Amino acid sequence: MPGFPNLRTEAERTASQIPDIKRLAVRTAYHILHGNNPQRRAGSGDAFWQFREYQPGDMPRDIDWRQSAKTDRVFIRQKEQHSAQTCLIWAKRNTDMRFQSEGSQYSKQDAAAVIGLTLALLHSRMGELVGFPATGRAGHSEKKLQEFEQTLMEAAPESMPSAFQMPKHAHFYAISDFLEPPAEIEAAFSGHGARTQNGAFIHVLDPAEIELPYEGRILFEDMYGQKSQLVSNAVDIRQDYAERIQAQIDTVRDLAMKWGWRYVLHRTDTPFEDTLKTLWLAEARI
Amino acid sequence: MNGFFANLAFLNPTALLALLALPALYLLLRVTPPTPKVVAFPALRLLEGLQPKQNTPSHTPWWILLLRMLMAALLLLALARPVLNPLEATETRGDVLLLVDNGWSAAQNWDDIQTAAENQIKQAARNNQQMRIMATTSAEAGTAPALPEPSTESDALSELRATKPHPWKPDLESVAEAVDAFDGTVIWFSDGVRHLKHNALIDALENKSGFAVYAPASVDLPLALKSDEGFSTQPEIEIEGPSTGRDTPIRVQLLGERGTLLDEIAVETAGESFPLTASFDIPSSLQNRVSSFQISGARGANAKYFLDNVGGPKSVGIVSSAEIAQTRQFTEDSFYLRKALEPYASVSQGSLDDILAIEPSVIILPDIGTMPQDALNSLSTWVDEGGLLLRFAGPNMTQSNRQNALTPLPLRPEARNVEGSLSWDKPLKIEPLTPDSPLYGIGLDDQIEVSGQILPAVSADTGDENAAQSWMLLEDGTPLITAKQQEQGLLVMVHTTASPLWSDLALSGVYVDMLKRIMTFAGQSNAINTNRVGSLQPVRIMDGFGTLQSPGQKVKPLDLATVDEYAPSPDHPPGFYAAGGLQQAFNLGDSIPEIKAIASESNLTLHPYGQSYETDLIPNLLAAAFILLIIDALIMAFLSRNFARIKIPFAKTVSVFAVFALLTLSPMKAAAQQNADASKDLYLAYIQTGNADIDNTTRKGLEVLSAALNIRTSAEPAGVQSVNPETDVLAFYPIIYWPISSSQERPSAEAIRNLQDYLDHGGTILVDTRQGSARSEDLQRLMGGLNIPPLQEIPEDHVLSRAFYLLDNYPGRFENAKLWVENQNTNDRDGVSSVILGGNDWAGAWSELTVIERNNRQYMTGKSERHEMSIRFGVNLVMYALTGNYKTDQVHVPHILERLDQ
Repeated sequence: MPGFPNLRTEAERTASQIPDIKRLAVRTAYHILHGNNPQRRAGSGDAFWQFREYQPGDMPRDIDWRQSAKTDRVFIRQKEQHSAQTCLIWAKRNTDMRFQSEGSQYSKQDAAAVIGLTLALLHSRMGELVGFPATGRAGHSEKKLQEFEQTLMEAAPESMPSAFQMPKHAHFYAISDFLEPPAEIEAAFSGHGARTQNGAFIHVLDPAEIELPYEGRILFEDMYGQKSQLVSNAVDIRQDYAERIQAQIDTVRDLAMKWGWRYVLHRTDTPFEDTLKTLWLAEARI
Repeated sequence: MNGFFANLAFLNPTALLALLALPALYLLLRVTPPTPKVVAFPALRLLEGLQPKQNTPSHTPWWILLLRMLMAALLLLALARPVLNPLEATETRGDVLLLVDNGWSAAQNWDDIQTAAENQIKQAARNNQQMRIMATTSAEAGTAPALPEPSTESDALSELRATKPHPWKPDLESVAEAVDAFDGTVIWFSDGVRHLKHNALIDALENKSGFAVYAPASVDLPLALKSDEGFSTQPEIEIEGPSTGRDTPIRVQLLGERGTLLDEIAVETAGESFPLTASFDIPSSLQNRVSSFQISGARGANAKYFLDNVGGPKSVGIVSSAEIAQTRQFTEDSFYLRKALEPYASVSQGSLDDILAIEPSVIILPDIGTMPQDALNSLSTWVDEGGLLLRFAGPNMTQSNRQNALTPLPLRPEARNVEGSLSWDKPLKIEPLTPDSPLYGIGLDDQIEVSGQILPAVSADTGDENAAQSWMLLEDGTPLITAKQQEQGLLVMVHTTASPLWSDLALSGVYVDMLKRIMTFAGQSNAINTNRVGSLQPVRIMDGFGTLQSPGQKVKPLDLATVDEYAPSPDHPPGFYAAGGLQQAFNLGDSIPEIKAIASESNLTLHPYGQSYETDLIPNLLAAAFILLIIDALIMAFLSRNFARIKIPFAKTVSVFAVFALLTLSPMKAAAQQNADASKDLYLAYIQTGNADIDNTTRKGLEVLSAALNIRTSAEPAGVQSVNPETDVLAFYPIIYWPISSSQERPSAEAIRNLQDYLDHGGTILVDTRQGSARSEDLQRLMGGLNIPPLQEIPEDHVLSRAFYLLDNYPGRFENAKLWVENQNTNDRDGVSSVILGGNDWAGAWSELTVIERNNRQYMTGKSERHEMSIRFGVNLVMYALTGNYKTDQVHVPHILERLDQ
């Protein structure tokens, strides 16, 4: 990966730019969204959940003697099921993402990987389980992070995440250039939109894709060399193109808004920190 | 242009067939628009259906088509391997013997012969053939060409380069023997002229397994100048040449002493047959200066013809009253003497005192018997100091009170009149001259009759060296001319009149020849005694190219008795031979009976010599194609940027470029106008060499010098002018810079005349060989026609070294070349040398400086000490040309003295 001797280093650096204390404060204040995440069912957490009549098979040490004494039945004290929240991060990794114009520092894939890993680090530091959708179980061990990093850098042909089970209220980040038709995007994410409100679209675009800086007679090809379009003078279509890409951006943002997800546009010629701070602060504001 | 294409050949002509495919290429290119730039773009979906509103042409513009077609054509031509002036080398097998003609007739085409032989040597070396190289003319007497040992390529090449043409005949008989002894292929680089034993050589060649003969084209064959009999007044020379077709005129030049061009005429050859006669018509004042003829543009001793040298110009004083001479013209002695001598000497006439005052080298006393005693004494002293006194007899000398002083022999008091009414004798004829007479060699006319004579009182030739001698006798044995040395001088007595009164002598050509010969003894009276019996010693001899040189040890003298029977040979090369005052020219042309081309008679296949070196055109074509490619790329870069916007400006650019190119290609038109301002201001001038590089350097250098003069001195040149000596008026320029370049053509006669005029009337030319040495072959070629006074190495105290700055040396780009100037004593031009000759490339050094202008002041940058010194030389030079010897006075004396003290 040119310009990236070590994706991890870059991601660590980015992560360190965000003040830990503030993050902790945000986490503490909104713990329902972050950190210890109540599952709203009986479980092995510390917090009380409900009393329930003793049934055979219950552990005797779970009997709440004070409550049982109030009546003639034996109650056990059930605690809320506590489990660390899951954070799923998906990034588009097909050939489209390899695009890198002259003005930008990284290819879209690099940018997506850095953002994804940074988010993974932040979340794993919060004790959450981090994982790539549909690639086994999420975790927060160093090994899991390395696996995750590996996955981010691998190429994958699909342009939308394949079907996976989204844990309820999980954090979900979708990092992509979202150049597909809006219908496809909606179809791919609408199910997840219902499952969690903690989702976010991170729209990674190359400046060239936003501004169309080309001039003169140009044959535009897709990244697979399969389709092409000859434009006799690129300057003349710049305006039209700008309208179209803006419409696409707006559509994707509206989709995110529809599910209560956050939306961030990242240009590959801007620093990652800005994008991540925006993302993080937006999260804090909720 | 025709000549260019005539010399063009394609080594791989089949590639030219591909040119037929060009129309197909045209169609192909026409329908293919310029290649678009390919960009991979992920958001292609969003681009779909977007198209610019403006229409763009779908065809490639015609001028791009033309460009590309041209490019393709150039590449195809390059593939066909075009060469200019293709090499001519004969394919041979086995051993090869190269015969190189180097007789007199080879000089004309020597470069061609050498080049062809060189090519053949290289080819033989490529084919690993054993080669031998043999010259057909022996360099030394007693040796004959013999079959040489085989040599290597480098040996053969160095041997070839060491071979020079000789001004005598080749020895074809020995060559034929050598060829007979050789087994292999023989290639003869012939000079195209049929020599003695030509057939023997051809027979020998035809017996060989293979042979080839090269010969120059018939128009390039050598010509020879010859003269069976001399000419009396107007110079005349015969041209001998091969009979085969030549239709361009032959230009014959008439040269004076030191090679000054006197006249040049064109002799028509079309429809004429050799020998042709070139007759000149020149003013009588020039006639006495004629010293040689040469064929313009020809090389070799055969193309030059020298006349017998009469010695330098003499001044002659005739003692006679000018008034008398005018009134009694045709009976007056001095009239005949003047007419005879004026073409050859500066003649003055007057009383003895007047004559003595101008110190002539010869004084003639025609028919003067008595003189005042003091006049006699001063005349005697003058003779003692080396004067030549020539006396003629006449009626006045028979007076009773005549004096016998200052005659070779005492004279009898009365005249001998053989034709008088009382005489029964017939007028006497002149006895043929004997070889021991200093006058030997003069063609006598047996029509001359002498009827009157004053006889000496005693007979001459007593054997004593200091005694009087008889130089010419009449048929009865009485002396006609006697002579006697007196101290350093010489007394010559002609015992008859200088007018036709007593003899026909004064009416014949013998009179002139006799006077001329006698004049050669002026100042060298000893010459009459030295070695005039035996032989003529070589003085200056010609090499094969006709250049005069000092004779080597091997050159033998000519025997006077049989002088007309010699043919040039290693022992006796053509040139000047002298005995005493008699300097005789021995010309090659006189021994050439006729020139026959070998092509005219034999049915040999003759290969022509290449005109010049083969030039491979592939690099040029490829370079041109490459430049077109770059232009095409630039155009495409422009086009793909914005096709519609660039179209009109590009057309403009093209036209601007075209106009610019036209302008640069025809700079001569712009330069042709003569400046009208040159007379108003001071301009520095230089002579155009025709080499743009050198001319630019010179111009730049002079501009820097002119800036330096403006900055530092009160000489403020207004600018720099290039001059063409043929067309421009030179008189405006105080100094002209002449960079010598091998690319400059020899100045035309008109240019030489112009330059000579400039030099003769106060102009100064700085000649710069630009080679760090004052020697240069081109110098001789370019300035050969100019009459330049003798030059000397610049003396230390020359005014040039202190005309403005004090200089020790005169560096330019080089430092060590000597500077040569005219001897100051010999000129009357205020001490300014007409020619300053050096080789330090001053203009080159000056041009390395840059003049910048800041706040309306000029500064020079980039100076090193050498640059500074070279600029100082330039300043001095201009000051010197402008002020002459002005600075030889006392201005610097205190400083100089001060320096001397230190």
